[in-house]
Amino acid sequence: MRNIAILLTLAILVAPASAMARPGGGGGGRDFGGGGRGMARPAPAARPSGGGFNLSNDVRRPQPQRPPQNVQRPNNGGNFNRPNNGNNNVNRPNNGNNNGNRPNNGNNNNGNRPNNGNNNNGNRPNNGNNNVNRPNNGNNNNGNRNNINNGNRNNVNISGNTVNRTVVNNPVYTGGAWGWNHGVAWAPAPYYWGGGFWGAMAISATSAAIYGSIVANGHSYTSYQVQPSSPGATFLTNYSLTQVQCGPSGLVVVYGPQNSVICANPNNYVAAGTYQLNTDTLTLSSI
Amino acid sequence: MLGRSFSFRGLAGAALVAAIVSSTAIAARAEGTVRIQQAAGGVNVYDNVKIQILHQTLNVTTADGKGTLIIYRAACSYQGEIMACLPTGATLVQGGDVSPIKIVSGTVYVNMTSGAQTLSLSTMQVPAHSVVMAIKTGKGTYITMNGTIDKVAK
Repeated sequence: MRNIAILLTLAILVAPASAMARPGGGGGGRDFGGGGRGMARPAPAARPSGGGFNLSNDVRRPQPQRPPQNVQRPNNGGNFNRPNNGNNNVNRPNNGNNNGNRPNNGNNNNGNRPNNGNNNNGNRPNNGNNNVNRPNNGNNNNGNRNNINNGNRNNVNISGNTVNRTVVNNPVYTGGAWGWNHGVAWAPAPYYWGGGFWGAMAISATSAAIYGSIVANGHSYTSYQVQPSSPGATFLTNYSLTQVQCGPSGLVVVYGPQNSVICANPNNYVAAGTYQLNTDTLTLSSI
Repeated sequence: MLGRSFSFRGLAGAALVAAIVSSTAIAARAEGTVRIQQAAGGVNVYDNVKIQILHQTLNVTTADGKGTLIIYRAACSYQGEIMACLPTGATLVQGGDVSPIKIVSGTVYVNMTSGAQTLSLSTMQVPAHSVVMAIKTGKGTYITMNGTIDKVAK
């Protein structure tokens, strides 16, 4: 009898709570549309039959396997070498001529472009030097950093480790890495200018104001306005720097993540010159 | 099984009832909302999603438990007391598959404090222990989400 009473109590308590937990009947959501008042609402999208989120457009579907057509095609064969491909021949009646004009498709890559590896080296023989003028790469890629720095030092005749390189320590955060970010590591995000360090400005689509440009080693690097509350704004505040248009001489030129650059007027903390920004510690190194 | 549980008497039985009710209430706390707008315009809204920050990833699970969107990589920086993140890596765990979701833009604001925080240059507030998110995928899908964080595990 006591057990029955407890059971009834439990049923009363649990029933409304369960109903609250699943207003959609376990489906996990609701759709817009149907009986909308006022503003027109977008049509509901189809839901995945198995439940969960509808991100079907963003999820790669497995590609159906195609029958192994045309796998066995000898080169230079023309129609004789692929005479019975059915519809393929019907749709491409001039296989003979086509093959004659491109007899070695398989080999063309090698024949016409035999020295891809060498071409890269030949066309870009001075990666080390290029990076001297674009020191920002150092922050982007640890793997490149070693090579770039080694190359730079040799090319600019900086022997040893840090000779002739001025480091301006952050006036605010003197501790270890990421002190400026509550100890949280920051890494550049693709698709954003400067990896998002200067603000969430999408590459090639930003509406941020252009703040001049810097030409280095034949490349022009556009500078944009640093967004408030961004890590870059924190950096400027730390050094009491005010961003200005790049271009004139006598400025503080700071290279940030991913080939980004900003300029500022020199002040008591930072003298005019070109600097590489270390995003770990928000320190500046002259280059 | 249920009957066997209720073979407990007195205080034990009361404690069990309290525990069951308590666990139900915790489940009901999942009160986040996700809105997914396809590039073609179709919209789905998911209520009662569970929001968890697990080992520095943001996990958003549907109420039916069948789909979890995980943002596992982001460039995060603090804007005052709010953490603003530019997500760069996401996966969808659903139907036994783990599928990458390409994110091209968007921001996640996380307020881990016990008070509401106002976003920079905005009048919008992020409630205490809450997340506000808006991202766009490579396929043009917009995913927005807001809600209270249900669990944090470091």
